[in-house]
Amino acid sequence: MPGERETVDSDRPTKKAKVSSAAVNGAPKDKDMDNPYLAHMYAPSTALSAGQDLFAGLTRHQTTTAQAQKAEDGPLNPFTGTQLSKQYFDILKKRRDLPVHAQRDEFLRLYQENQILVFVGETGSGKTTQIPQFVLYDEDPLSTGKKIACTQPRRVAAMSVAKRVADEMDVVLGEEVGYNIRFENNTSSKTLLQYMTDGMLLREAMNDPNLNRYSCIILDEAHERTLATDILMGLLKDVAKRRPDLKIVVMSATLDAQKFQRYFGVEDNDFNAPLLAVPGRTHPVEIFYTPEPERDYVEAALRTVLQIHGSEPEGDILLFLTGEEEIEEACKRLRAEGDEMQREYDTGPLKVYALYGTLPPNQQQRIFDPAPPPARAGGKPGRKVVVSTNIAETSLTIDGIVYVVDPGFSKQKVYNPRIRVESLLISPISKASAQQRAGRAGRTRPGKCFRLYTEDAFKKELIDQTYPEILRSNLASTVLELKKLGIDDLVHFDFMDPPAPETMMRALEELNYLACLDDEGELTTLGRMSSEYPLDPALAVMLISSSEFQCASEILSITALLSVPQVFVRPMHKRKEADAAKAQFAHPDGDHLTMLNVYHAFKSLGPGAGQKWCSENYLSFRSLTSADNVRNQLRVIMEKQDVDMTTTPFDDRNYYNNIRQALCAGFFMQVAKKMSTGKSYKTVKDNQDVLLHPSTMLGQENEWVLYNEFVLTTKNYIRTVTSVKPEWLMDIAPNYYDIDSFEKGEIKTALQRTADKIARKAKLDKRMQRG
Amino acid sequence: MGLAGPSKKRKISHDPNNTKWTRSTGFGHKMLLSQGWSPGTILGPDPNNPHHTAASQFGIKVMLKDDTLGLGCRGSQEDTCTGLGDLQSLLGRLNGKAEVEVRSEEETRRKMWIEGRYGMRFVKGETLESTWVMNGLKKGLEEEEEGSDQEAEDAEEKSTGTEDEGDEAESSEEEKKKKSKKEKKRKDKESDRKKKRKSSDSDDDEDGSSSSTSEQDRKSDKAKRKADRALRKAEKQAKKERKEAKRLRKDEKRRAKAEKKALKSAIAASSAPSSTASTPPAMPSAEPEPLPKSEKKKSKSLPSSLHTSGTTTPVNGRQALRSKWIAQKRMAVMDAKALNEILMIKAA
Repeated sequence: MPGERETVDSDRPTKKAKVSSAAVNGAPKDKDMDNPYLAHMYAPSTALSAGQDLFAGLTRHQTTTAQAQKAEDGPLNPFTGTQLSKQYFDILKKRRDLPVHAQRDEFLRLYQENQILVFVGETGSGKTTQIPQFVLYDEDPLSTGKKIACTQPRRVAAMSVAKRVADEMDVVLGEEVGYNIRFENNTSSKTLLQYMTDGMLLREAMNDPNLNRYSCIILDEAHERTLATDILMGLLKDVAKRRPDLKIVVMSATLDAQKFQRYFGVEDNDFNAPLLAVPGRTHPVEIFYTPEPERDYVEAALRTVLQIHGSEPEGDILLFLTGEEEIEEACKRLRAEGDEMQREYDTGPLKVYALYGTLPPNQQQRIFDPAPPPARAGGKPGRKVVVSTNIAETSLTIDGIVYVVDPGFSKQKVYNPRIRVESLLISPISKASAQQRAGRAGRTRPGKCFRLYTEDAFKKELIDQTYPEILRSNLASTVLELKKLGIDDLVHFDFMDPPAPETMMRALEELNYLACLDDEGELTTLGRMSSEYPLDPALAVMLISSSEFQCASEILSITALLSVPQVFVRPMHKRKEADAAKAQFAHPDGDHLTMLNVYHAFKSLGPGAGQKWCSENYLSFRSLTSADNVRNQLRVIMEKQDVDMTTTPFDDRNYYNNIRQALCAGFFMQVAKKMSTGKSYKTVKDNQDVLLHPSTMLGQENEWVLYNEFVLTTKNYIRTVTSVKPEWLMDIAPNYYDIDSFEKGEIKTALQRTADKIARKAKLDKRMQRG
Repeated sequence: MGLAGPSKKRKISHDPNNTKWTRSTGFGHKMLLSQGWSPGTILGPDPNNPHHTAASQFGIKVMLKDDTLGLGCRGSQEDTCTGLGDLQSLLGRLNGKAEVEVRSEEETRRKMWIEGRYGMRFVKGETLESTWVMNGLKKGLEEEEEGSDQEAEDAEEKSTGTEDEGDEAESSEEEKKKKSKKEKKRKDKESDRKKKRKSSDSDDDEDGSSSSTSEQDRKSDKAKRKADRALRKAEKQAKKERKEAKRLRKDEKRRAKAEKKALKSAIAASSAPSSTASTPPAMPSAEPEPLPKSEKKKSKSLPSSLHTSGTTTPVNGRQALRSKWIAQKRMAVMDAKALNEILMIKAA
């Protein structure tokens, strides 16, 4: 079938090709019959003629709203040729009411006239679901054979939006409409419209720098400014020059539009890309501030929610908090208080839902349940409360929300290149975020937003826009990706917001130590191999070099476990039990090995037994299964690269030593040494005082430890640690552990001693050999 | 913090900022240098891009937050002084505000407390307008603005030619000069905006209507706008006939200046809910930047709903100075810390 597909690179000829083929054939049915995508769908000829009417006259990049609407009106699905269902028409009616629809004409005109278009539509305008469909009717993907991609910053969004759009178009998810996210590809050769995470598109660009499979790329939620979106924008600017037929739509939700316009603008247009703005909020939102700053924002948030429940008319509440723990705690208290209110004050029932990224999807879906009915006939109506992280700020839209409670904080990632620590810290949100949050209240009817800070604080304490992720992350993997994409000049790469030079330096330095870049800054073979993995370079290097230590399979498991959410569950009220359960798996040499034990135990279970076993042992079934999935995906890449997968037998004396050495190969830059006084450790080279995280299974007596994570709190902790030997470090990473580069201190002395020991041993060996 | 409070001991390491690394010139430093970077500059092809922030040069500095203090709340309770509202009204009275005025102010403030069982009190702030309903309106308004600008010029030209030639001609010409100057300034400032607008709704878009595509609608829309324009034209001319037109404009200018100043200084101080015009954040067209002149126009053509900016009474030179003083005083009074200092209140 791919052979039949027209492969035309520029769009103009394609258009003509299609028109002429229709004209030549005369009978328009043949046109559809010719189409490999539709051929198998056609059975009755009556349907055919009707189907032809739907698509006739639609010329690529010349369609009008009226034509597209006619095609949408059915009765046959123009993309599959099947009868459209009743559900389709029900949805269609609603779709036509969406704000974007009113400006379809304008959109099409701008889209057809320009290569790059900036589209500003507030959340709720329907842009994520509708614009790709508008494009679909205009691009005529059936004849060009090129797909349309729409990127999403979040996996969940990509999945749920694809599902929604598949419903809207009355097609099966995974066929005409699909999604492609890391570790999960739900598309087929039939796919015309593909939702994907921005990271996935970036990976695709590595193998196909011109993105030839696509005729249009839509960057959605660009205002979120994820790392991948930022890099993609820089790349697409280039690709657009090479491929004049490629259309790019950048969709954003906030007022940052000017910045996008300038970024995508060209000189002769005075640096302004065309912009189309569509309204989104349908109702006004009243904003309330506290008269004075709050002492405790969580407490204040809970009281506000309950006060709303007690005194305000019907309508659901959305409360923004920062993290999983905080949210679960708040939910618990709200449930208890809600029940009490219902008993004592005869208020309506209160239903509380948590929402955060690591929540299992089925529980995430529950937030869409309608508010509970009155407890008794004639009683007060019930109310739904959703307690969420900033996930509900832009990516998820919950209908029925009338009240928003905003304490003004969220957990945000920050990276400190000096001590090489990336951490999630609670920080004040930006003004843009605050307005976004408030806007969530006006979706169904006029709403209210309660801000738990003063108006003064809003004006003075909040920054205007949230910093883009590129300014808040370790760039090691990004630099590796850029190198793989053939971008050598990192200094002049067109970043929308250039990262701090220090961050860039650190990334280059790390890659150099990992031997992904040679001393001239060129990508090495190891670097090229590492870039194939959707992993941190350190993890990728560890995975590739694990074969040297004959433990590829084990390192593969550990890598997978490190790439999924925490496998150990520790509920608030059952900490002791959870700790006891964890102790069963403990390995004296460290947490990585403990995790490996868990995984092995999990895999030795019979099918179907996992869930029960996990809950009994305070383990996350979901994390373990997804680790299993990740492991399989990574293994495919390893096999493709011919990495030797032979492993040391379990009863070998060196089984665990090998694993620990392989860990060193990736994480030699994350090592700490115990200080002679007290419990504290010091990180090698960066000289930060740290403590072992209380969750570790490792004893205090280990002198050298390797850690996976640096946790920044009032005390600095290192989490997921395993003990290592300095000899291994010096052997595996001689560049990094070059004694001359260390400054005077305990670490240098210890390393010197180790070096002496090695030298003595070598001498002894030599003498033995001679003798 | 009292003795009973939890003691937090923190050990700060020797070099928490790792200045050692910062000073060193390792591989990364060398690489960047070799690609043409020089220390102290930021990366990217266009280091002077106005949209770049300081974070691109120095990275982001974050305060570690490990408590549940609300936003804007600092330190222990003792430091923050509460109940200053009453004091403010007292001071207001001392400053010569009429008794009634003060009382009504208090009244409204009390009304704004939203009483609740859970003791959460809120003050009403701005309202985020619906972008959906407003869009048509706002767009229309913008066009009107643009249109009326042109028309104003047109009208001026016409007026020199037609009706009241003689004496009006002079003044209107002068006006024109001034106007064109202003226009230029404005144009410069708004060039960005305009360009955007132009590119996004050029030629036939005009209807700005959100729903219909039919020609008829567009026509009727156009007709309506024409009528509108005519109306405004008439208004304009009527206004022109007045002799003080010139003076008025002068006044306006001055007022605008004063307003700007007052706004600047008062913005911090005014905790009153009506302080700033509500600017719906949704649409780029709703940026709060319009110059006072255009603002005036807006407020004329659109009844209230868009902005409720507070005190704007015309002031001349001396009064401007005075109002500045008053604003400063007011600011001092509203700032809890300053007030504490003035009244020498120790934390209660």
